[in-house]
Amino acid sequence: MLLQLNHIYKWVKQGGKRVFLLNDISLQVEEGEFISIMGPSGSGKSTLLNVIGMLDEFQEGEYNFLDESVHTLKEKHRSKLYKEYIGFVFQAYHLIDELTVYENIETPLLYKNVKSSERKALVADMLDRFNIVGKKDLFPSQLSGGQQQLVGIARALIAKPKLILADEPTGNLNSKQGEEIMQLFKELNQEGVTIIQATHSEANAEYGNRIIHLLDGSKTKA
Amino acid sequence: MFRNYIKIAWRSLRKNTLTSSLSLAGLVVGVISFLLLGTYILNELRYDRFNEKADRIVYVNYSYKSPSDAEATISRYTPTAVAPVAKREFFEVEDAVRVYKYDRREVEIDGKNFTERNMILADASILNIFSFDFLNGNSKSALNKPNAVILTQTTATRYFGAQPALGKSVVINDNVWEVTGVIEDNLPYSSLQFDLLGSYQSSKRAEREIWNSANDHSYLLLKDAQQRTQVEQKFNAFVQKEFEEDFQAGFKMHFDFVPLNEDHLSAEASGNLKTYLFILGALAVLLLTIAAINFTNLMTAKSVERLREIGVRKVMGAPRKSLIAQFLTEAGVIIVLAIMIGTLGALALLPTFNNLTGLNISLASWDWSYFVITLVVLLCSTTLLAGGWPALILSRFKPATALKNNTSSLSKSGSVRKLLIVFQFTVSVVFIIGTLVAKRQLDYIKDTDTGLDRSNVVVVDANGMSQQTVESFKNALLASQSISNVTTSSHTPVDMQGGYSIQVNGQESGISITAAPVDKDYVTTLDMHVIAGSNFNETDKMQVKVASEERTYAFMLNETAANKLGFTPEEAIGKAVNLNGRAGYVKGVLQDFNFVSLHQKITPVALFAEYDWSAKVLIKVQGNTAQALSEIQQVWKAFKPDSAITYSFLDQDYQNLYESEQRTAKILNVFAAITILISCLGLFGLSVFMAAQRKKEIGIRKVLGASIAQITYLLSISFLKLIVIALCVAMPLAWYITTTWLQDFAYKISDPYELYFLAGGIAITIALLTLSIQAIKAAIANPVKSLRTE
Repeated sequence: MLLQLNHIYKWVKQGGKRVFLLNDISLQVEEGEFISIMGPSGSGKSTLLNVIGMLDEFQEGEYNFLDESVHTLKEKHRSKLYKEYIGFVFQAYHLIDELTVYENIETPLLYKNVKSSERKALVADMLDRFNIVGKKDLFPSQLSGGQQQLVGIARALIAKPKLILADEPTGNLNSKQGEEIMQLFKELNQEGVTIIQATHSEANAEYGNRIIHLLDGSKTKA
Repeated sequence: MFRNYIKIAWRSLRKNTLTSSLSLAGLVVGVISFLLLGTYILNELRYDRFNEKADRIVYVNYSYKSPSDAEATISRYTPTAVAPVAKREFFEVEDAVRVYKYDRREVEIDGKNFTERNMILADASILNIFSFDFLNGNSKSALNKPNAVILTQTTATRYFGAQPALGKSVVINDNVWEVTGVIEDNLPYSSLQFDLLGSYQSSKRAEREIWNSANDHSYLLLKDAQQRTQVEQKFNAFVQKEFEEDFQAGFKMHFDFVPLNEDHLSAEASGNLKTYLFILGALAVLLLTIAAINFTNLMTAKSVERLREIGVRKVMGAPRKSLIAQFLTEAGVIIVLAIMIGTLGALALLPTFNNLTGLNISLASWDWSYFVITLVVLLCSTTLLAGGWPALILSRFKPATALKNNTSSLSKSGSVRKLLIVFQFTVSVVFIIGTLVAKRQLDYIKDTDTGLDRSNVVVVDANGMSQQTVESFKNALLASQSISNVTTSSHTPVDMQGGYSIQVNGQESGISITAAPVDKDYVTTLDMHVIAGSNFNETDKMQVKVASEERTYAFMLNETAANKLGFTPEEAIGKAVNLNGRAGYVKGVLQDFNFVSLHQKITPVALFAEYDWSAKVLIKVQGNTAQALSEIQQVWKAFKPDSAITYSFLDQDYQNLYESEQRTAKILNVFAAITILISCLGLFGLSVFMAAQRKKEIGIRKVLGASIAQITYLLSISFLKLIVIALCVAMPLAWYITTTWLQDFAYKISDPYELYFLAGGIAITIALLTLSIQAIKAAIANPVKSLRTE
C-alpha cells in the first residue's frame, strides 16, 4: 500500500462557522493505481491533492504514506518525503519563467543535491524521452501550452517519484494536446508509476482505473 | 548551486530592466556619494597622521601680549629661536624644525622663467621629523647645505621633463641652488604643502636666533608623546626666566605645544570643521541608507510577483535555506555591480568634486585594506537588508498558498515599506531645509552691509618698502585710469587684530579696543560711512612729523567703541582720548563694520592716522580688473624690480574667513539634490509596482466608470499621505538642527519659516511629478487588457 487517508477533515472559519473543505475523507491507494478525482469547481479536488502531496495541512484525521504517519511529521521531514516520492503536475504548468526547459527539468535534482554529471545524464534521458531535445534552451514563454505541460511532466518525473499528482493537467490545453498528455500518463502508469489526477472531464477520468467523486468536500460514491 | 543562483539573478536582472536599472542607479549614486564624502572626511581625519612619527610631533602656537595690549595675540607663527632652543635646552625634545614660507619666487632654469608660489625653507631636521618618499637623492642629508633644494615630482617634471633633476642647478631669486632630491608629491592630507623645499641655511634668517619677530612655523619631535605638557611647562618656565625683566614689565609670551594629530581639527585651525565633518558623515551614511532602502523596497515589491515561483520551487523540494540563499544572491549581484560601477564613478568624478571644493583629494586617502573592508561591509549589510527581508517573508509561505499567488498576507511588509518611505523623505526634507537655510545664512554674510565695501579692492603687500617709496608707489598707481583710490594701512579690515586700550581723559579706566594705523584715505577707499564728525585729512597725517610727545592724534571710532565709552556718536566728537600713550581726540565716528567673521560680535575699533605703518597697500579698482592688475604689476616692477608682487582681493580674503562653511555648503547643495533624486527614484519604482499590483483593481474601476483623474488620485494619494507625514517629522528636526548651527553666528538670519514651506513644496511637487507619471500611465491603460490576464 502506497498511502492511506483516514477520516480527514479540513476546514476554514468563516464568520465563526466552520466551512468544510474536506469532510471525512478516507482513501487507500495501492502502488500502480491510476486514480481520477472528479467533481465540480470548489468540490475540494485541489485541496485533496494538496493534502496528499503534503503541500497543505489538515485539521483532523490520519495520513500514512509508505508506513510514515504524515500527520505527526515535522515540516522538514514531510518536505523530505514528498521530495523523494512525489511529483507534481499543475493545470497552469507552473514552470519558472527565468529558467530554460533544460534548467526547469534540472531544478528538482539541484534541490536533491544530485551530482552535476548525473544530473546531465538524467535530464538528457528525459529530454530524449519526450522528444524535446531541440527545445532545451528555450524559455517557457517560447513554448506552446502542450509543450509547456510536457516539460512540467518531465520535471515531475525527473526525480523518479513513486506517485504523480496531477491537478487538471489538461485544463489549459486544447483537446488534441490534452489527449496526448493523457496518453502519456497512461503509459507512465503502465510503467509502474502511481498517478492521482483531478479533472472535470468525464473522458479524461476514464483513463484512470478508479474514479472518486467529490462534492462539497465529501466523497459521494466509491 | 551557487552558479545557478548567479545565473538566475542575472536573468531576472535583465528581465526586469526598469526596476533593475532603477535600483542599480540609486545604489550607484549612493555608493559614489558615500565614497566621495568618505574620501573627503577621511582626508580631513587622517590629516598628517601618515607621518611615521606623527604621534610624537607637536606644533608650536605662540601667544604674545605687550603691557599695553588688552588681550594676547595668538599666532601660529613663532620666532626663529624657538626650535633651536627647544632642541638644545631640553633633552625631551629629540629634534626640532623651523618652516618658513618662502613665497612667490622667480625661478629660472636654462632661460625659462617660473613664478613659484609655494616654496618653503626648512631645517634639515624636517627630513627626520616628517616622512617623505624620496625618488632621488639622499633622504637624510639632502638639506644639509645652503642653497640645496628638494623638488616634488610634479615640479621636477615641470622644470626638467623626463630628464633627471638631481644635481641640476636652478636659479632662485638670482642665486644658484642645487637640486639635491626629488620626492613624491605632497599627500593631500598633509599640512606641509609645497612645490619646492629649500634648506633653511639658504636664508639670512638662519644666522640669528631671535625672539622678537615671529614668522616661522615650528615643529618639535618629542622623545615621548606622554611628556608633552611637561615639556611645554618647562619650556615656558625657561622663556619666562630668560625674559624675566620683560615679564616684570608686563610683557607676556606663551608657547602651546599642540599635538600634530589634533592640530588640524582643532577649532583654531579650522573653525567648525569637526561639526561639518559630522554632518557630512551623517549625510554619506544616510544617502547610502536611502539607496539601500529603495533597493529593499523594490526587492520586496518585486518579490511579491515571484510568490508563484517560490511555490513551485518549494513543491520541487527547495528547502527554505536555498530560497533565502537565492534571494540574497540576487540582491548581492546587483549590489556588487553597483559597488563596481560606483567605485569607477567615484574615481571619474573626483576631479569634479575637487573642483567644487577646491581640495585635492584622491581615493588614495583610503588605506586599501580599509577600503576593501568598507566595500565588503557595505556589500554584506546592504545585501542582508535588501535581500534578507523579502527572503525571510517569502520563504515562510506554505507552498499551496504561494501557488495561489495570494498576496493579501503580505500586507505587513507593506507597512514596513511605508515606514521606509517616510524615513527617506524625512531625511530628504531635512536636507533640503538645511541646505536652504545654510545658503541664506551664507548669502546674508556675503551681502550684509557690514559698514564697508570690500569689492574691487586689491591688497598688495608692501613688503618692507620705506614710507617714502610707498608714497610714490601710491601716486604712481593713482595715475592709472583703472584705479580710483589707494590707501595704506598696517592691516586690512579682514586681518585686523591686536589689542590696544583706549581711555577718555578724565575717565578712570579705559576699554580694550582693536586699533590700526591707517592712511588718511582709508575710510574713503573702503567706502566706510562716517556718521558723526569728519574724516582724516592731510594735517592729521602730517602729525607724524611732529615730535612724538607733542603729537595730537586724530581718532576715528566705530559706533560700538563710542557707545562703550559712554557716548552717542555725536557726543564722542572732540573728546580727548589716549590710546596706549597716543594722545589725541575723537575726530569722527564710523558706522559699525565687521572686520572679522560674523561668527563674532562687532567689537570696538579705532583707526588713527599714523603715517609710517604701511604694511598693506589697498587699491580700489574700477572698470576692468585684469587690466588694473596688470597695471599694478607694472608699477610694482618699476619700484621693486627684484621681488615678486604679493596681492589678494579683499572680498576673497573676507570670504576665506568662512572657508569651511562655504565648502560644506557647496557639498551640501550637491548632495541634498542627490538625496532627493535617490528618494524619487525609489518612489518611482514603487509606484510602478503598486500600479502593476493593482492592475486588476484599476481595470474593474474603469469598467465601472472611474475617470482617469480619479484613478490617478487613487494611486497617488496613499504615497502623498506618507510624504505629508514625513514633512511633519522633518520640520521640527530641521528646525532643531539649523537653529543649533545658526547659534554659531553672532549675526544670523531670523527663523526663516518660509524656507520650510518652500522645502515642503519642493518635496511634494517632486514626489507628485514622480508619482503621476506612473499613475497616469496606469489610468489610461485599456481595462480589457488588464482584466484578460486573470
